[in-house]
Amino acid sequence: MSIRDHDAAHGETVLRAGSYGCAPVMPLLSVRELARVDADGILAHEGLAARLPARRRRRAERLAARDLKAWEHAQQRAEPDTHVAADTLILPIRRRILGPGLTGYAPKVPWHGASMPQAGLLDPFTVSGRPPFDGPLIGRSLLTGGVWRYDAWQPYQRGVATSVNGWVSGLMGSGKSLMLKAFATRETTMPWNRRIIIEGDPKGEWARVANAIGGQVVRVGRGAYLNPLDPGPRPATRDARDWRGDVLAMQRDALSSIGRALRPGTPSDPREQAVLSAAMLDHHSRDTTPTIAGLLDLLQSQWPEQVTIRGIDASQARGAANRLLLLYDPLVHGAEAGAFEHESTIGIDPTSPMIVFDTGSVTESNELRKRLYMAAMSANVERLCAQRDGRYRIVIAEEGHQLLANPELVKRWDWRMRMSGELGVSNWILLHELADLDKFAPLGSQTRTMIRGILTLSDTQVIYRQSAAGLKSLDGEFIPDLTDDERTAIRTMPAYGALWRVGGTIRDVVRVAVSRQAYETFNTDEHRGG
Amino acid sequence: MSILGVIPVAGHENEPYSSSFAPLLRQKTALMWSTHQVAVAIMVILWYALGLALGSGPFTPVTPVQLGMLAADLLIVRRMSVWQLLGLRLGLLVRRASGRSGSTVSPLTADSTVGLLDVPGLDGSITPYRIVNSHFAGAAFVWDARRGEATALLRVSALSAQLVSSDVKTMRAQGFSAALHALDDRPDVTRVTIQARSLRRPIDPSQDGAGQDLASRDLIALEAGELRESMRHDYILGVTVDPGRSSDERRRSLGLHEVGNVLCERVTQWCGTLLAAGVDGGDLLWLNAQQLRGEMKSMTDPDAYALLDAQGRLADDVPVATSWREYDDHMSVGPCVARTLWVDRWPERDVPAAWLGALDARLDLQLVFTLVLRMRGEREAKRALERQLNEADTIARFNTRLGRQSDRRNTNESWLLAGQLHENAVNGGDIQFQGFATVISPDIEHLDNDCRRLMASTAGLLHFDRMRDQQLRRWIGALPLGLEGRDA
Repeated sequence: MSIRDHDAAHGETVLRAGSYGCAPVMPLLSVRELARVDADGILAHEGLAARLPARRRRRAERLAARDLKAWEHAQQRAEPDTHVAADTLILPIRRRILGPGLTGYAPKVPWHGASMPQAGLLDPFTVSGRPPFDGPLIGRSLLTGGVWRYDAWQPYQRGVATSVNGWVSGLMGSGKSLMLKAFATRETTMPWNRRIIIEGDPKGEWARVANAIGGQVVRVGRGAYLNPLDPGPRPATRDARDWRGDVLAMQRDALSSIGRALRPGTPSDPREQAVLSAAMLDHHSRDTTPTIAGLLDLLQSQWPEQVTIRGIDASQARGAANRLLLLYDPLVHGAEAGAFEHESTIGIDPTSPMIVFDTGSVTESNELRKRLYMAAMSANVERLCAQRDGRYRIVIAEEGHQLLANPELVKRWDWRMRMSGELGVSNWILLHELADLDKFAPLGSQTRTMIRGILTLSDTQVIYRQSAAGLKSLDGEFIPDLTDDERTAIRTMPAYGALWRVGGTIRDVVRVAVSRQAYETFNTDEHRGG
Repeated sequence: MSILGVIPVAGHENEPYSSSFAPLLRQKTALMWSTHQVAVAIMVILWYALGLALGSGPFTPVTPVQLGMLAADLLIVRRMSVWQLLGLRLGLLVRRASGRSGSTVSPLTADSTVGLLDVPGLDGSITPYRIVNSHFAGAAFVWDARRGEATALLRVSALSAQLVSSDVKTMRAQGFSAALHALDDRPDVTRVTIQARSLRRPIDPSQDGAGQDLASRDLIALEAGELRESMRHDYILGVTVDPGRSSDERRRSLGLHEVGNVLCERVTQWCGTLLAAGVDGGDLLWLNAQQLRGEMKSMTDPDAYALLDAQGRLADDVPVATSWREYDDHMSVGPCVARTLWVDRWPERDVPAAWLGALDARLDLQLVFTLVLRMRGEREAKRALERQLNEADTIARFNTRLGRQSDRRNTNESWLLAGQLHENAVNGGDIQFQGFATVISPDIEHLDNDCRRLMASTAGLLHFDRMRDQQLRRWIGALPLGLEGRDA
């Protein structure tokens, strides 16, 4: 090709043209060496340091040089166009310099200078282009333009985090629920194959999602019962003795949580707890599944006076039983009856990709019922998590404030977080406004301390746009190491964007990506826009 | 680097001779027969002679076996003996069974030319750059025989500095300064090129491609649409060594083997110092020839990623040849167009540490930002700085004599040069650098737009100069070969 051709397509002048490339040259190896490279199956540099004898090597080099020249000649013959640039060398100097546009002449580019300390500011290593985790797609990084993948167990597997738990916080409408739905549904796909449990779904939004991916929706009321004291069948892998201990603890905790929901300000006293434990043991000795209705019948009978409970006498046992009767009776004969007092009529499938405990029937105004449903459902979540069946589960508390308002549930959540490695459970909590924590867990209270522990020990923190008060709560109390850039990122966060903080090192701003079809299922903002 | 986990080239798994095997060594001992053939023949003849010596007749039942062995031994098929063919066949069988192959990255090929770079040189000619395997676990280097320079190329990732605290950023800047300072002890390191690359690449598809539920369909739709491509940010670090500049006289006239050793030493020593500058120590790879070819191929062609294996290697039988056309102020390269801009003005005001992140972190603009750095010795720097300072002082004196007001820019420059002189004395030298930004776009309209966006986003920090009639040279400098700055 000649210099300065006219390129009709661009309407511009082509100064030069050609091609560049990089051709492999095969190294010279003997059969013995070749067989070693191919056959030994070990790291080459560990076992293959044998060198050719000098004489043979020199001969091989001569042959290689000859082959190289032959190859170059062949290339030139086969592809003369690739050496167009070389042609310029043989052109007369006058034509090269005085010809069209000083083609081929390029002045030296001057160098800039800096002192050693100044040169430190030229450090270009600022952007991490390597996706930190493997996992299902979540969205796109707004800092690098790369895709963001995340699987709840990846940070631990990569050594970035020490726990597999997380929380999501942000203002209403900032996109946190959409992100959680995308995250949860994609975690059910292969090869991740996680099982999702939604602990409380007051608006019924997760029920739609579960139906779309073949999950199960658990609804109580209208003749459908869910017994919070039902341990379910013992998994084949569990030892009978261990299982019995776990079941007793779960039943005790379930009753404590329900009791705390019914009587928020007052924790149960040791005598009540002793009577409840004795009642559960009584059921176990008779090999029957306890129910709340059955428990009340037992407490109303002569059993409290007759049973031997160490540390309390018959009259004290009677008194504790009467207080428990007063406490739990609304579940059987009161306004809250019809959901949890009898044996389960709903079968929960632990293998389902997503189990949603739907509390959609609960009216927003009935706070007592909301608390009660949350407590009773949590007991069933505990039971599912204790399966130890080799499946990895992600528990999402959609209404985190409801959960954190019950100190017993906070304790259970804290316990589950600590046991996440043993149970194979990743716990995620969704919070709207962190400043609201002051309402039910004032600064300095024991519950507040525990909530702080839950939030700070969760190694994945997803932070959407915050109110000024929310950012103030985050900064210092719940995230002690928030940097200036992170604060700015939270303040200026675009819609559906969130700051992801994973472990001590990974930080990114990610916008969730959802397909149109999935968006129609996930979206709960249809009526928000008016 | 390590050849662990070698994966067969896609599409060639079932072909028995799919690997890019080397030509066999064809050194013959007697006529057309190799040493081992001659040895076997002698052994067979000795065996026969031993029988005769022990009193057996010339024809015994063993004789046909001996004759058969001799015939098989002397047989040549495709310039190979039967024993070689059997050995090769056995090797191939074991290779197929183990799934391992790594002939071109084996240390057995250390100091061998394993690739030829076909790129235009400074004067427009084809410069004989060669890719030579080093002793460092099969990693390669670019050998410029004409200039006697060897360049090692490493692909590194950085630890993000985007949301970290100011303290960490400052610490990394100090780390980078210390790394550059370390070049002071290594005069044979003639230059260091760092290429911050923001290139588009297709994402790896999910494994769950056949699912029919909402989640699977959601992922498939995203992978085909919104998240089809991702921005890849990485850094190509080029360390160029010229043993002729070594302070050790014994090292000034070295062969290729020793040059490779010097390079290994420099790379392993110096790259360690970069860890404090924000380089991710877990993702630092000295490229071998196949990886280098892969990087060249995928620079302008995102589809080429599909041809790379898990280690980023391009099979030897896939050509890298890319056509180019040079225009006044841009290049047409393969399916893309590219324009290189020279940073002619760097920030004149104070900038915070990690400020270059504003240039590197491109979300949707393909950019290769090439930074060339070289250490200047104390005496050389002192002479140059004093000359500049004298010029500035002369201008100031003229202004005074002519009764003009002093020029603020001139005053600032004098002040800056005086500071640099002081620092030069303290640190024993200074750093010279050049910066080039190469924007890559699908067509000229996008290219113009992308260049405008780049300039707008860095306005106030950097000023770019469009390099007319120099685009080819700059494009070669933008390739992952560490060649920028070679005309110094």
